[in-house]
Amino acid sequence: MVQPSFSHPRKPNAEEVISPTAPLDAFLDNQHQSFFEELYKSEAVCLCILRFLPPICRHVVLHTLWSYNPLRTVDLKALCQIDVSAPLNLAEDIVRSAIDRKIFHPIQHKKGKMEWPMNDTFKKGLRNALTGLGKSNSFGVPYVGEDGIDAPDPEELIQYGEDTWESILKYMVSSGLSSSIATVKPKPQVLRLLHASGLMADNNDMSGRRPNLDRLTITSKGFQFLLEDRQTQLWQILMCYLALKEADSERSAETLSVFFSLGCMQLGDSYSASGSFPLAHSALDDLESYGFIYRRPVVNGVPSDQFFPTHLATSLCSGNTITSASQSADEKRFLVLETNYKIYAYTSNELEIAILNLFVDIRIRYRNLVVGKLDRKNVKSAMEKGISAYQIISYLASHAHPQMYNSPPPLLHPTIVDQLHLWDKERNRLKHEDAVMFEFHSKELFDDTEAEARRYDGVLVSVPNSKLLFIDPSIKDGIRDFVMGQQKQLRGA
Amino acid sequence: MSRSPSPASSLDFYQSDASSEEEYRPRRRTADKRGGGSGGSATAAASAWTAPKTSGTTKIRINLGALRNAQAAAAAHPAEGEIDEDVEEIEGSRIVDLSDQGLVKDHHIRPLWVDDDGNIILEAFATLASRAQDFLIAIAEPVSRPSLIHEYRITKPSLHAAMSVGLETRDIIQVLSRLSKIPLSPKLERRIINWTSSYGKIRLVLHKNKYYLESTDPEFLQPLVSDSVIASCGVEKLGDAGQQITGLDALEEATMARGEALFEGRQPGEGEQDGVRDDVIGAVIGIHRTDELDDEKSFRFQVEADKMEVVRRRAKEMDFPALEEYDFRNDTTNANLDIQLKPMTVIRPYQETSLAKMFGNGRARSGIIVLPCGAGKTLVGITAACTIKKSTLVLCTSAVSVAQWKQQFLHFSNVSERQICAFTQSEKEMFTGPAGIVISTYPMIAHTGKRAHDAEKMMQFLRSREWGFLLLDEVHVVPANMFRKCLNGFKVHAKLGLTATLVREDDKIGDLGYLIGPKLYEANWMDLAKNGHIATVQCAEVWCPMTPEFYREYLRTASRKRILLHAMNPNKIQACQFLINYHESRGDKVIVFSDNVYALEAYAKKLGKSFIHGGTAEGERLRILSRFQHDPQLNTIFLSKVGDTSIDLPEATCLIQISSHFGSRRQEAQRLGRILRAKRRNDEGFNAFFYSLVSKDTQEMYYSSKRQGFLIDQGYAFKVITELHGIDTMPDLVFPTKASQISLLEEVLNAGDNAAETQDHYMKLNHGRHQRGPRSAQPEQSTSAGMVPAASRFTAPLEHLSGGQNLSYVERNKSVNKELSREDRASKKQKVNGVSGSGPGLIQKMRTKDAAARKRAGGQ
Repeated sequence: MVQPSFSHPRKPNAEEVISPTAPLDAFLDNQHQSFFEELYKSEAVCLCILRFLPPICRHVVLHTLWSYNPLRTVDLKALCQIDVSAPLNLAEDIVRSAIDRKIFHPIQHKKGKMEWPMNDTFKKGLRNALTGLGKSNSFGVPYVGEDGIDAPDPEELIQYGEDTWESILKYMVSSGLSSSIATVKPKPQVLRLLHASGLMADNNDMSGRRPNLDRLTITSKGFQFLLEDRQTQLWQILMCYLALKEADSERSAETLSVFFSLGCMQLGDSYSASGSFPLAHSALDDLESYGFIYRRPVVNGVPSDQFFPTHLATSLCSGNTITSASQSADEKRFLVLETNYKIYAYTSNELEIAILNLFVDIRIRYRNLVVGKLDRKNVKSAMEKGISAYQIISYLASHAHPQMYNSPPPLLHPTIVDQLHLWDKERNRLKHEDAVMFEFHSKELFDDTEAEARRYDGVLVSVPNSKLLFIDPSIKDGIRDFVMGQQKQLRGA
Repeated sequence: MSRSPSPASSLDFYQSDASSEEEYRPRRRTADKRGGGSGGSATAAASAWTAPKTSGTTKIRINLGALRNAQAAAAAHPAEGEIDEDVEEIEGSRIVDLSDQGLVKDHHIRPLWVDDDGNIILEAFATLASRAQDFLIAIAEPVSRPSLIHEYRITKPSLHAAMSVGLETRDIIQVLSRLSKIPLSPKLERRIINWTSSYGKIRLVLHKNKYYLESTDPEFLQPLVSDSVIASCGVEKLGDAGQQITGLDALEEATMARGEALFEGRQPGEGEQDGVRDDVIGAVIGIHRTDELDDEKSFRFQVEADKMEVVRRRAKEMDFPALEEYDFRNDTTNANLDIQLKPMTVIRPYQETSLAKMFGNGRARSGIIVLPCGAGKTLVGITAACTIKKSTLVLCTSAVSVAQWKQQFLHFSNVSERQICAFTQSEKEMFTGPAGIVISTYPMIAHTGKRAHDAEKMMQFLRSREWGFLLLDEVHVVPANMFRKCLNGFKVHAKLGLTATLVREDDKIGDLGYLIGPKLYEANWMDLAKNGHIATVQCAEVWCPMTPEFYREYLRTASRKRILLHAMNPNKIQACQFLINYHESRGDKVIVFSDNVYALEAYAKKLGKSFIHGGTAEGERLRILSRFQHDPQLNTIFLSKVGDTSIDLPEATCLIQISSHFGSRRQEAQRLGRILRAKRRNDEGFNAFFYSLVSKDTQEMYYSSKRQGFLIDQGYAFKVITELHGIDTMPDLVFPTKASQISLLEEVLNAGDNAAETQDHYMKLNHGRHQRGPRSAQPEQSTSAGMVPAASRFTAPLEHLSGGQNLSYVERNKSVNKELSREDRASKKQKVNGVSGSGPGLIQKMRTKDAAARKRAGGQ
């Protein structure tokens, strides 16, 4: 008996977990040895990079940190309880990410032994970080000053950081919506970055070279950006910032080490700008406009040397798994999605509502609750904007209310997930493909040509009855020559 | 105006419903309504009800307007087959912003949000939720009840229902404001007060076979009596209406003041803590509380029995809804019926709750109880009858269910067989003794034409009696014109309506309010399923792509045939066969539903299964049903609309729907109900299956999403299946080749006009009687004797009749030789033509010669 297994419209393995530091990883993966040599001069970087490693790999690095000998494959296999005769790949996979980050040099064969020597700069940096010996001040220099009285407390800093960051996001959303929400226009350098990163674009400026910063509207990439996790958003923006700096021929390694340093700072403490980052004043100014740090207002044209990192900065390096301290888990999980496609969002946050409004038909708004419906019209209009079903689903899943976890998994009802995919599918039921049509008069020639085209895997449609052949344009010339040759042959014969 | 059109009625095609004759003319009804204007409530409605009689000449009653609309919709979105948005929802797309309203201080422990219009959102996971839920069920209509967050709406009828079970305005407002997270708006408060102020002041009583409007306060009775409509219904036509109100002796009216003192400490101060609050809610929704009876003098106004409905409706329109209660314990005029539940009968908690609502104050209230199919509606009805212990009349939809009711009565209660009798076409007996139970069908009672002698006698008997209790099964069919006669013809003290789905696509559901009474109780489907009272069901919508040939015809054909085309889609038949095979092999019993009788027969014959539709004779019907129940060889039956309700088949565990009636949410729910009572429901991990087969890219998609509305609001989820794995490897798949599919298409296109109706037209055209004419035979497997189908007439082009429809001849690769010879022939022809160019002249000459010869001959 045939068992029906009812297929899902969604593809398998689509729901992999994307690390929030994906943008950073992508950036680092493309860097050379010299970049890392420079980067690892800062102890903070060494520590943060170590934190981003997978647990086992992290353990291996710490294991070999104080050893004078390079890491040998035999040792590694023993450590991880892998059979000695196991292929090398197995062992290498474990330390793959450390090798990618140039913590270990590539494998070397020495006297029949295979080993990975550790990068000396990194070794020194991390040792210093752990023992507190370093002199690079990469963990920040505390500000020593007279006015310690009205220092902002952590809540105020969090508030400041949230407000600044959300005002940027809100500005992005409102540029794409007809409905208006009160927004503050971000600073020009922020807008320039948003434009350069492709999150916003000036529709009147086709070349993309001379945008009018007042007329920017959000792009499909920007919409996708909005649905991302906060941590991912931050790193994405920071990486775009790095890219922009690099274009201005600034050294990105230095700026990147500033990020890591900030990530190692303490929320609520104040630091000296000149002491901590003597070389990166401009970067600090920019980071301030994103809400990463807070500085006192400028007095007498002299910017204050004191600065406070906000939670946005301090949570940067807190690892993949831990959610940022500020957004407590409960606050983030506010969505209830019912099987009748209704969405109940426990939020009063303008930004969250604006984002929901992208794909949800919002009906009622109470002080602490927004009621909407996931309907075809709104979802499809969101899809027109470039938001994919996967993004909507992952947004819904990552913000699901704790109560949703009480029901048996899956978290989101499969019907709704399926429906979203079906709506997505609906948009591209017709596929356009360029083709070249050949019409034959002789069945023989048609068959030969079809066989030939199949050899190149270029047959799109073949209609034997009327002897029509549609082929891929890329093999057009070859087929034409073939047909000519065949014709000649036939005539010759 | 009580008949305010629901938002749904703004969609014309959305109105059609499969319950009565009237549904065939939803367009007409709306036209009437528009003509009457918004104010002409009673008259316009009345003319709409009489319409069916006058326009009975039209034989083809398909809802053309609806189809046209759907077509336009389909044309606008050919690739999607679904309309973008509900019209009703477009209006609602503006955001209602209540964010400026403050929250109550302890809002996190309160479970409700209440807005100005009476829409209520309930956190079903809050601590107070279960209590709040009980309360809301009493005062509001449930809108949607999935798992975590429920929605309710306070409406006028729902408040009236609340009042009728004994809640008071003040309590309603108080509890609401205690449960709400945001302060109750004064607007809503005013509205609640407004709506409830006049409720319960007027009572409609049956006393010694006469109907009276009764009130303790003449102030309330006076406006009613002076109303021209009601005055005209009065028994004594006196000039001064006021005189008709007769004061009664306190003695006569003073029924024992049964009520103990009402619960004390009912109004605790605002600032009290949770513990007290719980008490308040408990007290207010408390159902064992008794009402106080006032010993004051009552005033009465007698009305004619046959004008009762008019009076009820009018009173409701005037905002004086009349309360109908029956003080059965103190009724000495009518003989008691000795009936009791058998000791072994167990009543489930929710059944008890619903009955408590009915008998809350020691008297029987008229009203409606809504329980899902299979949740034991019958037992609720029987228990109610056992409580009242008076003569009882039970009305249900078909003879089959009459038999089932009778059997259930004997099974659950100790009533003796001679006290219970059925009144159907075949059975016409009367019970012996002073009191008894009569079970009949709606069509039987409502029949207006000539009756057989014994039937007439029986009707006389039924009409003349005073009934203690009228039990209406599947009450959602009652609003239909012919059924409302059932209610008016009898003198009844208490009425109880039972139904699973109180939704209709037309706005007739509001009529039930004054025809029977308010909704007393509505159960939560998901809760019942969770507790194992009804089966858990996996719902799925299977998308069957149309084959290219069918789809081409579908796009081409006129509206009515389209139904047939998407019902007979070969891919659908294959999917149906596949699902039947799969579920039969699992040991499931399968019911396949089709509204379209043509499709029903075609499917059943092709797949070799038995079928039942309106044209199937009674005996054969019962035979097939019992075979289905007991014969392990017969695992699948095909049912038409006749099987939608009241056929009790606890064996069925899988249901496949192949064609359905437009967007009827009720039908969908009723059909689902056929498998909710599955016997095996308490097995570990048991699931019943409900498949709805839908032809992709047709209007079915749109209607299908409409139909699911009700069930989705109850928390069911329809899974979309786009592909059935393994269907291509299944042996003996029907219509495997293109040629067989094309010949099927041929058959479909040649089918008669009637075939396209989604209705069981046999039933419709014959007014409930079974078809007399030739009917097609059951497939081999069942026992029916084969009969020759009647000759059918159809029109078709000549090439179709000759069988050349799929053939065409085009010569492409013409050989040069042939070309040459053809040219030759052509030139020869030309020559011939050139010669014959003078032909007419020649013939002319010959004729003249001929004529001349004849002349000569004649001359000679």
